[in-house]
Amino acid sequence: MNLLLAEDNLPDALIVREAIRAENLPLEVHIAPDGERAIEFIESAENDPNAPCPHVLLLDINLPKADGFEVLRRLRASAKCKGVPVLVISSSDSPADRSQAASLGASYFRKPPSYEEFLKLGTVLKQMLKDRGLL
Amino acid sequence: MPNLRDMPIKRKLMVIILVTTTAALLLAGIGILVFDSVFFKAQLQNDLRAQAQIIADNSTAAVSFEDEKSATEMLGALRERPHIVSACISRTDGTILASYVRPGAPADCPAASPTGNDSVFAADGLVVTRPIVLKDRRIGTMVLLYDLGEIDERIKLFSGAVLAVMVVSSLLAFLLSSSLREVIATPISQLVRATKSVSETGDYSIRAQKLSGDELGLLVDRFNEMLAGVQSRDNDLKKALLDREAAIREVDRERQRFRFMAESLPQKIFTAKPNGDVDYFNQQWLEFTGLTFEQIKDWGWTQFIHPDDLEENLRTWKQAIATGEPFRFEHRFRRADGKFRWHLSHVHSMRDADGNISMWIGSNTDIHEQKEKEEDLQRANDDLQQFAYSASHDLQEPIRNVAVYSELVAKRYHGVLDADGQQFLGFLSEGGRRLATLISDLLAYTKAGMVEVNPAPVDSAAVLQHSLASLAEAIRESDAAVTYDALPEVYMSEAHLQQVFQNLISNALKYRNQDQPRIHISAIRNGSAWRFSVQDNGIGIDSQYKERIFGVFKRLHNTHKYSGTGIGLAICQRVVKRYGGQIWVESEPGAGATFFFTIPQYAQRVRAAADESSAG
Repeated sequence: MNLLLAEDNLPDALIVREAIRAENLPLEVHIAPDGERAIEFIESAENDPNAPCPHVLLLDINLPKADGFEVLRRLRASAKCKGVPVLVISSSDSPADRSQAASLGASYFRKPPSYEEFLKLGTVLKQMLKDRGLL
Repeated sequence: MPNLRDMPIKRKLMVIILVTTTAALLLAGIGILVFDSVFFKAQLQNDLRAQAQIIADNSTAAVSFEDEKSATEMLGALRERPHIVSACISRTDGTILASYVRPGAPADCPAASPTGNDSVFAADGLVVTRPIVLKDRRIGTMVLLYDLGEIDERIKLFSGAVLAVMVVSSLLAFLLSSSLREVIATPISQLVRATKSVSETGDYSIRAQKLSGDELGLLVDRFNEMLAGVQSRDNDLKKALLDREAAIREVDRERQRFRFMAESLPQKIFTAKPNGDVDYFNQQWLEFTGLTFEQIKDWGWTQFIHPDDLEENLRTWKQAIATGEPFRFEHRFRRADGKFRWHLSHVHSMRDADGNISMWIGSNTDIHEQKEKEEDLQRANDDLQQFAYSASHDLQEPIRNVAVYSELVAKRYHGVLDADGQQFLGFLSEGGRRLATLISDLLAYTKAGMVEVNPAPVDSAAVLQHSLASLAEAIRESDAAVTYDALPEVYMSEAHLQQVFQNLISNALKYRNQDQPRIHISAIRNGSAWRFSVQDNGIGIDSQYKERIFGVFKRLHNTHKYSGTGIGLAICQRVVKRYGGQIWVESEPGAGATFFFTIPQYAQRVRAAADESSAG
């Protein structure tokens, strides 16, 4: 399965990989370092019948060029990929961000200032895939 | 001769007296004359008949004996009466025996009456005929002629007398009337003089003098009474006029005082009629707008109100006119140079004794500079807020990396590091985590200053339950008993209320003693606000620190004993103050603490009023 990770912060991206690895999730991680690249990924999947949509999208909010919600809106507007499960990962604890994510059909994970805590992302992701029948 | 009607009463009286007297005397004189001539003629007739009879009787012998001489002597006695013109004694056959003729008169005998015994007034006088009888036998006739000169003399004499009496009596009447007329004319003249002088001078204190007790006296009395009435009314009128003038002067003084006050104030001042028509603008207004009073009076002022403010301005003003309630309003007025300036208007209604609005008075203060400064300050505040938010948000990411990776290094390279290295890495990891928490709290504190403009009502009980859910782990760990009463709806952001509850409850859990923590949350209505309380049975707070604990980063304990950044209560205070409330603590060391905070019901009232008006 393909996982698209939209994340500009390499240390965070590496921890995300760690978390996936810790749970032994069968996911191939593709990293988009900014919002535009993430949108390009979605559009190419949409335009090329042979290119698949990602099976899951991990989305940081504070992205260069186009922010996470812009990417999310583009995804939900896509006929082919609009059903992809999304987990927003952010440093923000703002209720506004949480409710905006929920209104666009995405789950929310706040990046904690602790390695151990951060690894719990794997558990959350695993549960999400299970809920979607992907595992 | 002027018409009697228009004559002065004096002369009228004199004329009336004289005419009356003269007419009466004339009538009397003529009567006397007529009666006298009639009586005199009858008397004369009788007298002459008697005398003629005497002569006839005495002449019997002379006639019988044809004694002419005796007969003539007999007749000669008539000489004594000068008006006897002639007399004759004749025989039965008509021949004259004797005659008497007054010297100078014709010698004819007057013709005897055929009856022989008569007295007839003829053309030349009275002819008296008497028979001379002897032993019932007529033997002759006695005739005499008496001229009527005596009658004329008598008429002349009487006429003269009457005339003399008339003249004398008229003179007397004139003299008497002159003094008698004073009795009538003088009071009238005086009354006339009095009326004239009243009408000329307007002096109602003048009185006419009463000179008699008759109708004229009564008239004078009535006239004087009337004057007294007029005088009293005139005095009342004068007094009323004076009072009115004084009142007008007072009103004028008040008006001038108001004008002076209104014109000397730096503010713009206006007054309006109860219906809202503006009837006065002070000079400051005219100078500011560059318009004339005529241009802006009544509702003409709407032309210099900023178009964006006009609709609400009119709505507010019309509502005030309908309710009579005072109001204040901020709006922009166009200055003469076309620039708009912010003003604060205060408008009040003045009511009369019956409670009806008699006028509106308003002041308009230029608050443009103040407003600009406020806006600048607000902008600066917003910018600062935004900066703090972004800064703390952006700070979070690198510090989180420090914390996470120091932990990862400690874990993965545990065997490579010696004891010191592991301890130092532990400091690094702990420092990073604490810094991340601090930044997170700082972010929360910044956000506590941002108030939602129109917060919807939230059920504070539901918010409390969310807060307790977030603290479930800590509550379970400390085995705390948390209870709460019925809690109201409040108009504030849910996140803010949750921050307050969470911080206060987490403090109550944190600063516990050996006993089982017992925390109770309740709320009561306190005036126009809700007063919430969070009560615990923990270590309590020394009264000297009651203020200090609400400061940013103010801690009473070191981090080893009680963890925390020292920002929780500062956040609570910031939130509560932003909503216009207060927060404080009541506590005794060792006896627990109760934190109180108030949230005004104001927003709720506004909402309720809006609902009512929409429902109505």
